[in-house]
Amino acid sequence: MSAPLIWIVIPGLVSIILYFLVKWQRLVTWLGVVVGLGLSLAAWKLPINEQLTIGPWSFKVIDTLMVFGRRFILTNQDRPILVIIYILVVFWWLGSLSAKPGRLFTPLGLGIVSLMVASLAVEPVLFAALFIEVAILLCIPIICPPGKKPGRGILRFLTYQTIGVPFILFAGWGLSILEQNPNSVLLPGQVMILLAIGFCFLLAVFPFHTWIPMLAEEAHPYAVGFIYFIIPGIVSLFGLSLINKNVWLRNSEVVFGILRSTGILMVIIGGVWVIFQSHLGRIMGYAVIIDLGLSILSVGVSQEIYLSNPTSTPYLDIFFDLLISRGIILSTWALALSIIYTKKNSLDFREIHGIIKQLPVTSVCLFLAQFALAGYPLLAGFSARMKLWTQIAQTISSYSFLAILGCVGLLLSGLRMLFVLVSDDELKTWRIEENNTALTFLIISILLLFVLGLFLKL
Amino acid sequence: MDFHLFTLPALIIIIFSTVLILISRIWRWVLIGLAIQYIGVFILTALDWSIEMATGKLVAGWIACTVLGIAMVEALSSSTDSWKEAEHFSPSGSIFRLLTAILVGLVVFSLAPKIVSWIPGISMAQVLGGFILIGMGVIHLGFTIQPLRVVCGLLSVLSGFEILYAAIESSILVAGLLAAITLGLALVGAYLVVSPTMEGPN
Repeated sequence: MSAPLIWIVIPGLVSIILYFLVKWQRLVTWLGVVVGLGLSLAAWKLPINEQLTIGPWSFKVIDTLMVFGRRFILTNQDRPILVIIYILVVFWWLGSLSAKPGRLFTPLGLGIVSLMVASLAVEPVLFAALFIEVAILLCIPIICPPGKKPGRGILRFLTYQTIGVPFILFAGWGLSILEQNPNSVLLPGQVMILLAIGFCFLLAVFPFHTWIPMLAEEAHPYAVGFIYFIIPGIVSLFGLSLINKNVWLRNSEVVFGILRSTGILMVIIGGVWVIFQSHLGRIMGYAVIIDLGLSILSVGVSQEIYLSNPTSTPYLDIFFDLLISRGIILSTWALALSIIYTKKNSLDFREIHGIIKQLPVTSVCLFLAQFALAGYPLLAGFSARMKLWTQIAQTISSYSFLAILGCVGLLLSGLRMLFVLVSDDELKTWRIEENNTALTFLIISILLLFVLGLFLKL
Repeated sequence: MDFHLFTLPALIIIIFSTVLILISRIWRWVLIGLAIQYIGVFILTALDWSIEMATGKLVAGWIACTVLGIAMVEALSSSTDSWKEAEHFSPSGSIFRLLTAILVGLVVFSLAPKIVSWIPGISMAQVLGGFILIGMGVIHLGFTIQPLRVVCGLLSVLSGFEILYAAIESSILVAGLLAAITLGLALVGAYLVVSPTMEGPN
């Protein structure tokens, strides 16, 4: 048995089986949850390339799977990432029981996750782009379920992500040439440009970010939230693995300089534009742009920290903190939006005046999620942002003000949203209109936001 | 078989088909243009790939056209006329598109000699064909919000890229995966075309 078989092939096969069971939506979701939990538990407990003995049986999980001469490799070093990915996805699927983003959410979601894990495991690296593209194609039925007319955001998402793939493929070719000829002077620059353009498309970097807020207006908020989390999250992990595997990229000041500038640009753009948004989904979209910017910035500053003191801070720990907190916060945010969307069939400010009196727990959840992503103290996103701001201040102090600016924009937008949620012209009476399932998930989510905020180490 | 003799006809086919896709207001002509385009792509990829692999590209492209065509027929038979609504552009619009296509052609012809020196082993015809497809595909994507046309634009961009990529990578697995992406894109396009007429989740 091999590790890629367990964490890529099995979820892929299960997703196909679940697709044929979509008529029984709750069963499919619970099966997805069980499989996801099993896979994350296996990633946590099952060592790779070590002999295991259970009773009279002895077996070994090897790290490589060969397919048509290409290798899929998952080692012990990848196990924490697998645990994070699968446990966060389980969290999303549990929330879908209340959010109801559509029948295809769990089966296609599992397929997307298995393809994205394949993109992290495959060698040579150029094949990753092809797996990412297939995963993106699978996203379309989730965000545009049967019966719905595709909007501009969906088409733009498909366009930008598809155009990004050829750049990564060409960069992969350039990287393989560079391995054979490391002294080439011209090629590193070309590869860097190709990678930069490819990742700009895939990670929704300015000016290719427009699909993010547009998508939020057109599709179910929970499905959109999932796409916001899974695609940029795993593409950024793929980007990190590229940097780690290629010494010249890891040691290049230009690469990290570009990452820092890109990250800060996304934070500023997201932070300024989020203030002027009057659609709850678009606010979530711009918040995601800010968070992605912070993630890219965290990678950008990691080189400075690493070079100044390689033994002190764990390399890239902030990036993973941001990834985990984004997964939890976004699912909470998307769940709250889904409940409002189901109730009002709109997320526009004009339609949700005074909704706190009808959906009080949802409103609190929404407010807390936005503040958590802005880095408000005691909430889930705080510790990662605090660490990042501190490290930016210590290394590139000129960026620290700008990095905080984006989060301030998100806080201001949150206050504006709060005003809309509580302002009520009709003097309605207070009542809790959320159903029991929604209430359960919302309360668990709120508790998680606080628990993560209180117990994640500073 | 030596395909070098057919590079000029292939280029002419590509230019003709991309212009047809860009300026045509009738969906059937768009798909016919796309199908013709794959003949040019086949010839230019066959310069570096074996004829079997290049044929795979041609077949995948034609299947993609068929899938999109079936989806269009299905969508139009289900009483929706969203296609016509979205694609109302005047004859002057066609002239504007034609002028844009000429502009793209000029840019490609002026840049091609430099790009030939960047990519080892690539011929001028491949660079011209590849970049004309990419340029026209991108222009097409900028002009439309209709799912069928968006997918045609993306398929053009991918085809252009595949011509360039064929010169540097001849792996069967890559060719297979790229063909799978072509088919996947066509399926997604077909889904997006038919989606409004499908039965809702409830």
